[in-house]
Amino acid sequence: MDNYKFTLLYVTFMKKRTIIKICIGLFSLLLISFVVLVMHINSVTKKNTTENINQRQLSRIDFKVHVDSTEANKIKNYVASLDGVDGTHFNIPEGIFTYSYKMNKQNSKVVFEKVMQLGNYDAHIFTISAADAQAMGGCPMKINDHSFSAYLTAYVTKFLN
Amino acid sequence: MKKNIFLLGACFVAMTLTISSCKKKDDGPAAMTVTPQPKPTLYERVGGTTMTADPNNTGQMIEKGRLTLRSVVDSSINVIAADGQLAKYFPVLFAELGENPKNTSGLTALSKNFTDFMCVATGSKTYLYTGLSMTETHDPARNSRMGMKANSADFDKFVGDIGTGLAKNGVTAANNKQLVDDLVALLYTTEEAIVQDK
Repeated sequence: MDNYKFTLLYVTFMKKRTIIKICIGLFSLLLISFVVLVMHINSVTKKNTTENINQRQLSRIDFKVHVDSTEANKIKNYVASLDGVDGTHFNIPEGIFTYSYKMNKQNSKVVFEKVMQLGNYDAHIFTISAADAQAMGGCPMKINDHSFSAYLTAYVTKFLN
Repeated sequence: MKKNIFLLGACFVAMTLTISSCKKKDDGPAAMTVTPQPKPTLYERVGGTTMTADPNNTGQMIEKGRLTLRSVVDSSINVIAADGQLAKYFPVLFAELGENPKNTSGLTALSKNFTDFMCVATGSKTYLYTGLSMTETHDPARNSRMGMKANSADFDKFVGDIGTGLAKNGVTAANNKQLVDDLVALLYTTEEAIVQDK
């Protein structure tokens, strides 16, 4: 009888140990997965952060009179050569000129004045009201800030940085 | 004696196996097993994961594939911004608050999100797109930043402007028709979600 009790106790003990081992194994796996996820998020967000060091702005100049292709190219090439400007496009049929630039290096008013010195064109900087800008935000493709991944990414990024 | 015969036999079998494994397989095409090469993804075709210096960020490295797509995205944003037909969708991209200059355009965010989206859509495993779905993004009811519902004609114009952005980066139908066609086809897979003014 004592032998039977001992065996029963032993079996129960072994079962518990097995369950504990399985639990430890699963927990370790979960922990490893979480660490890998954190490292992945860190590497991904780190890459993106480096691209966002220099905030960029897009500006537009509207020409009221027709600008021919030679003149348009002159304006485009001149603005493209300015420090901090990294993109230009002249829509000749519509008389719309856009350019993108790093805000810490260039200023739309300065660029506009320089363009005007090229030919004193009948043109103006495209603007909208501050209220509209505030109401509409600025980026049609926005981050889903209410998703679980967004919360986790934000938390991990904050924690690691 | 028996042991020697056994050793001799073992050596013979080993040699036969070695020679037969080295034998050139010239049994003709029908007998050849051809392992099909995996088709390169669009991301690989535009540069892939090879690292290169990032021209926009001194001292930083960037994957060639992402650099190509980012250049196309940035060029295309300029083209779209100058397109009178599409400007109505995101006027704030060009906003200037003259007396209180600050970045209101969200250009950096748009460029990053659009580039992330293109990286993932073309097959990159390195980057994540954490933005809203295409349907949510282009629904003014669910995304206040979207001015109005897009229609089919404007979507076609949008794809055309991306084509101009590609051309600004040296990729045209004349020099790489397959790539242009594949990218255009990829963009059209989003049409159903983006065009909501039907």
